[in-house]
Amino acid sequence: MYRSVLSLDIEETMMVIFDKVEKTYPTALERGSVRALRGVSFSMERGEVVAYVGRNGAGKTTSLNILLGLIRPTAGTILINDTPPVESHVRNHVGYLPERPYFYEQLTALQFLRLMGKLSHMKSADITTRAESLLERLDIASVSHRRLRSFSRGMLQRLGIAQAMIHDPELLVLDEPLGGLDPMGRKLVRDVIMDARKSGKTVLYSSHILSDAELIADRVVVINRGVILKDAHLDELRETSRGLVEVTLGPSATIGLEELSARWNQGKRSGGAFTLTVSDHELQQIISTALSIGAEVREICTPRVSLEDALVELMDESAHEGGVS
Amino acid sequence: MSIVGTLAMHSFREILGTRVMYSVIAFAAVVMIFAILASQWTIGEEVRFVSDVGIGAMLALGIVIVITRGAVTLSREIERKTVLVVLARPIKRWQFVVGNFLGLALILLLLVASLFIVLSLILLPLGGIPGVSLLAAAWGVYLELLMVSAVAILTSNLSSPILAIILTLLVFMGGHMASTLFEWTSVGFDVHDSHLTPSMMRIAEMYQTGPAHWFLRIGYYLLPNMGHVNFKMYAANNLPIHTMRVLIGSVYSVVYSAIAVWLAVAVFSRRDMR
Repeated sequence: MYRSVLSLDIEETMMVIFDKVEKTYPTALERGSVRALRGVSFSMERGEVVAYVGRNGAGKTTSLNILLGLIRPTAGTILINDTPPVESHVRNHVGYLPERPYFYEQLTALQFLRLMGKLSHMKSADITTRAESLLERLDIASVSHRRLRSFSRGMLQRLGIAQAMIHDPELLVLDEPLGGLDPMGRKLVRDVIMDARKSGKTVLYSSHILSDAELIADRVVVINRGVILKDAHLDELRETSRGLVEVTLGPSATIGLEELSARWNQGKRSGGAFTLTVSDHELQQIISTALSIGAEVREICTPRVSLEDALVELMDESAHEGGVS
Repeated sequence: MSIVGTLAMHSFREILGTRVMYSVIAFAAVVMIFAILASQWTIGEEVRFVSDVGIGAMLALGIVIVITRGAVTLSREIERKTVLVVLARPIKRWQFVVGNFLGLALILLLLVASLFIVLSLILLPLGGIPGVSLLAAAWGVYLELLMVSAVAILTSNLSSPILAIILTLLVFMGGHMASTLFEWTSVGFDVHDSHLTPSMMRIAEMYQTGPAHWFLRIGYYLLPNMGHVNFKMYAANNLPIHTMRVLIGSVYSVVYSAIAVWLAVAVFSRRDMR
């Protein structure tokens, strides 16, 4: 019913749809406004894990809160299972972890999960079973009877994941799920998200920790200043981000490593070889020069670009384009 | 249990576990001991004195709870962001507001009922038989606290915690003056033929016409009229009380509270939870 209002032709299999979503916040004393989201559009298929990445203040949390019906958009359409999130029943299929979770501190972990389960219309017996299993899975079962005021940031984060999953939702919306966790905690939560994916759940999570996004996500949506910069699969994002090539040269009888370093001062030396990162169109010239001076061309390859590098480059491009226009 | 019931019980337990409640219980004990000791100097008036102090303590301690919890309940939830995980559940916003209000109402009922029982136990050895009048007076205090709680829930939704506390206190005090204000602004009120002091006569004259008159008239209709639920004098003088008076007061309080909570729901439903 609600699909008829969409500006895009979106496939039936889509579970989450953002269509030209705008959000403008009034500033102090109503003298101005801040455009937090500017026509955000993307969609998620069932069973997909999408990392929503961007700088602080890019609009990630606003987008997620709009998806949960916590914030109303100024314009645009958001659908979960073809239903707007303001319809409360749709949230029965959604589990949500807010950024820096803060819960009722006088409750114990088990009491808190019971409350969340009851608010999700679960039966008491089911809540207890599910809560115990989740606390065990997230390695906080030993503190299930402790009040939350004594919980560390990492423990609260794990409990936050547990409450998001208590009613076994189809869609998990996690705002910085790996924040505040130690390396072991990060691995644990990462594994929990991977398990959710294996069991067919759809996961949308925002993150600053891009190395984790690389390990978990199928797809990355990059947002900057309220605008979607990129919506691509991980490999596509890495490939399209650069047209660079790595050339590894080795010394020979006619030329030493020192001379190679002196000739191309933008390269780096490692393990008796000298590596240059050059653009596609410079490649031919570099090889010709190297061969002419008698250097050994050991390897030519596409450098592995981390998601972080790709993201930084995208942001820089965006800032540059913004400056030009 | 329904969603509203679950939220009400959660809110009830949360308030019950706070330091404020322990302070209230300790203060109530001190007041009651004071009432017993001081009654020895009020020869022949012991029952009346203890009743007055007991009923006054119910109201004062109830107001402390309303101010410290009710007037900050929603703003605190929003500020601490505990509201996010609750509203992300399949619940409606009105259920959250009503649940919070009912939790507060339940705590106040517990307070008034407990103090009523304690007061009755103190009155028995003094020769006072706690009757319907005392029960009506306690019920009147509860109805008054109910209205102030509803106003507190509304103000906590509209402003910062400090401002919400100030507004709630002003409404509480204004509510006690509502009948007087109405009387002073009535056309037929003869300022020279009353028991007013000269300075109060001048103020009353000022309220007969002009903007001050309309300001107070509007204020009268907006503020809860605590006179409708004030049954204290019946208990203090051990006078019989008409059931209809209690019934009208009860209906007035419930309707006033419902309107205030409905307004709070209307505001809360449109709020962005950032």
